[in-house]
Amino acid sequence: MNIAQQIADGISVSGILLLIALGLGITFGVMKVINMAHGELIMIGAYTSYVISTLADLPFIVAMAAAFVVTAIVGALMEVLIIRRLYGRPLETLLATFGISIILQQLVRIIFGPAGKSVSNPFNGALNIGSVYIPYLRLFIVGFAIMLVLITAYVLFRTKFGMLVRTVSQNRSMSDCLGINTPRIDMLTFAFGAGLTGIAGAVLAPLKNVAPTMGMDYLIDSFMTVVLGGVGSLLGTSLGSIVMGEANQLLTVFGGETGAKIIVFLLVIIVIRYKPEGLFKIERR
Amino acid sequence: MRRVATNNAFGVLLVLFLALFPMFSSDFRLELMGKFIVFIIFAIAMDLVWGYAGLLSLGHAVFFGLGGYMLAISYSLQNGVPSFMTRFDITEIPTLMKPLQSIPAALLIGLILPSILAGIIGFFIFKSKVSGVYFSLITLALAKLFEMLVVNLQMYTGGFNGLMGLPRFPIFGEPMSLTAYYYMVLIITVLVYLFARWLTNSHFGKILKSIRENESRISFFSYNASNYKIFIFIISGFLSGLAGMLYVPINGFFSPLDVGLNMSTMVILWLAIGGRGTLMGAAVGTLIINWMSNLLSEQYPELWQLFIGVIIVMVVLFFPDGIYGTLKNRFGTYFDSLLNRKIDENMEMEMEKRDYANNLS
Amino acid sequence: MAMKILETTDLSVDFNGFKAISELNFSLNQGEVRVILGPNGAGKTTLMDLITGKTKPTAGKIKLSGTDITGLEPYEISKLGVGRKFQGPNIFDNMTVFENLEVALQGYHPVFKALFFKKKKEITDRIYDILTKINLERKALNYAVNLSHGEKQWLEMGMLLAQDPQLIILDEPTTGMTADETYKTGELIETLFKGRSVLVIEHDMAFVRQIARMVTVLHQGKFLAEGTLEEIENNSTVQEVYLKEESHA
Repeated sequence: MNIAQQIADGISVSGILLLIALGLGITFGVMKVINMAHGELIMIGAYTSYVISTLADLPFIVAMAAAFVVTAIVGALMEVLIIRRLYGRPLETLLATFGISIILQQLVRIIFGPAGKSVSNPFNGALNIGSVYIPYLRLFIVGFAIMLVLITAYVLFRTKFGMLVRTVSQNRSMSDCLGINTPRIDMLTFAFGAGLTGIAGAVLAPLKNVAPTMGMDYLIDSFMTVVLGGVGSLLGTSLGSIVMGEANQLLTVFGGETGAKIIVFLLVIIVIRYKPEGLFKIERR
Repeated sequence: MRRVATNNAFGVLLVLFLALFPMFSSDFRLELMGKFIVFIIFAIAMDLVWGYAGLLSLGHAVFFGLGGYMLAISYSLQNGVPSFMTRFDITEIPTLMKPLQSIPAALLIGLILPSILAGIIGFFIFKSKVSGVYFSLITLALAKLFEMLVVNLQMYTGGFNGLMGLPRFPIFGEPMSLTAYYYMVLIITVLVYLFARWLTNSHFGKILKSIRENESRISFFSYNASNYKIFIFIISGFLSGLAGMLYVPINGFFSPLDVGLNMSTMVILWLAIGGRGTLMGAAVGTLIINWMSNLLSEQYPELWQLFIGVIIVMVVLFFPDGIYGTLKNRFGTYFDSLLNRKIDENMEMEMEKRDYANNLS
Repeated sequence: MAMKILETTDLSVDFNGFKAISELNFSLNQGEVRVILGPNGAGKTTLMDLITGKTKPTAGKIKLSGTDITGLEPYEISKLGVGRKFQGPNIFDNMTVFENLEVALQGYHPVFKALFFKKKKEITDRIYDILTKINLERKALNYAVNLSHGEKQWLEMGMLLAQDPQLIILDEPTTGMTADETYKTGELIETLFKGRSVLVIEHDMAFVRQIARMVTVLHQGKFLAEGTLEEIENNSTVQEVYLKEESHA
């Protein structure tokens, strides 16, 4: 067993987790919306990637940009048409977005058929350092995930829009009184979170079989990552994905990939039970 | 209190219809209806937890599946070591599974094990500050976890493919006919309904409702809300296990799809659409959705799924009480006012007597 | 010397460095009606939270009729006979008025007792008796959510009656009431809760005058003064604190 390889693989899993959880960190973490259609946003991003890079044969970067735009629009529509009416009622939101997830899955199935699609890998080859082997695609995913976190942090903490987002999430009625157009901010925030999720789907598409039902597994992984790190904290989500990714990889010694996943889920459940605020959330009052 | 009359009238009609169903139905349809009646038990179990206590469990099929697997494995063990075990070079039935060789023992285990698991999970979660959405997320993870576990332990569970070719109806040794099994399921379901009705109408049921409405408040009236939640979770786990077991013989097949996310979300769907917080809503939702799904999914499988998604969104936005709840609120009062006029009159008189007595004193 | 129903010694609570209550020594006699006054942020509601177990103290002790109740859970404390009315109605909205009173009844809290609880005639009679006292007998079967604000407040008082506690804690019971309703509430407190110990937070001075003999003033989580309403009104420290508040506002 090559420990260095395991750790390297763990980092690449962490990168994937960070990528899929980042958007949820916005929609769930900041806006407190339980979006059960999160996985379907990833799926839509992946399909956009398929359409742009495989069917239209355009560069991968175009696919990523298109995925952001498409899912951001889907997210904006979701927020305006449905989620907006349910703020403050988390269980109803959960149910409604569950309905949305079925709708999105079926729409995609009707358009593209039930069979899986594949997206060709834009980064062939791998990096070899000693005995450690890392495909370039995975290297790209990790780097890209980190870049996306930094961009998100910049948007949230250094721009006017980010300030408004934080203001609204902390006190909606006060923000209304201050003359902030809260419905608009809500829509844009959700669209931003959805867009990030869509990019994740686009980037992961070459790695996975792109199929209408691919979202469900991502949904649970994303929620576990966000909750583990601490809801509403970007740093928490990042650290959470590292812990989850490494644990997932290192625990494969016990009963393979599924065994590791079972153990990780158990551990996350225990963490939620004893520290619902997450592992890395600094308590404030 | 007020709406008992309409509820009863509707319930009697429904049971009458279900009891007469075998007389004009093909075996194929009867088998389906039998399955759907079993699902009603599962929906009632879920309703107790979600509709009454306000706890949205996203992994309730864990209990359904645990019950079901106990009986399914038991059936598979009837003719010696089953093929899914021999494939992994297991030549002898593992010690832990030996009790399952007896069907009556499996029946008992299939009821007790889900109850114990529900108790453990309930104790673990409800004796902490975890609530609302976090409860839902934990149960979601549990559903996925359990599903993975069943797939992973394929040498004992048959894995991804599930357990197939299970004998149809030998619950008590002698094979039962489809019709006999159907009636047994119907009777058990009616009993479960009556039990759940007793439970929800009791003082206990009122406390459950008040936990749903305002959990922090009820603790200032001496009630330990977590004990109530644990208790109803155990009852619900028990009933879910029962439903899972009754499902196995009539389905003849049990797979990881019946234990994880798929089944867990299905039951939420039936309840949301039928109307949670009413037991009749659970029954109505289960029957309507399953029948429609069955009739429409053959002809328009994709559109039907799309339609289901749209219905859920519509129900959440516009009919939060579901089909039965909405109809009952619209028209129930009218029927009740016909049926209950007498009761109201009695109460008026009672109140007047009181007023009179008060004035005298 | 009168029996003390409630006694706190050096009670303190600290919210991440902010001392909401600090070293408070407070006591209430059996059967006494006491009003707690104090400007915003004086720690009045926090004191109620501490007594009823909603908040756990960081230091100090709380005794109820001599029994130490420090750190107990709300349901344990209410079992020992403490009832609380929250600021703003805190009731069960989607349940009927009758059901609201029913769940407040004391003595059926263990799960199995609740399961096999039979609604005997005495109990129904008792609930109707309470309904008459709070003027809601005609609305017994209405959903609580449909009551007016004042009716909701009274319903919550009725729930306290059903609970039948020794110590009653009322957090601004007249908020949102008309002057007339406020006066009636004062009468309710005097007649319904006669003989019980009552602790009230209130701002409405007419109301305070109506119900209280003794007043305790808190300021920034600390004890400031105690005495009859007249004494308090003439107390120079109290005046100073309130004047300062006014000029800030």
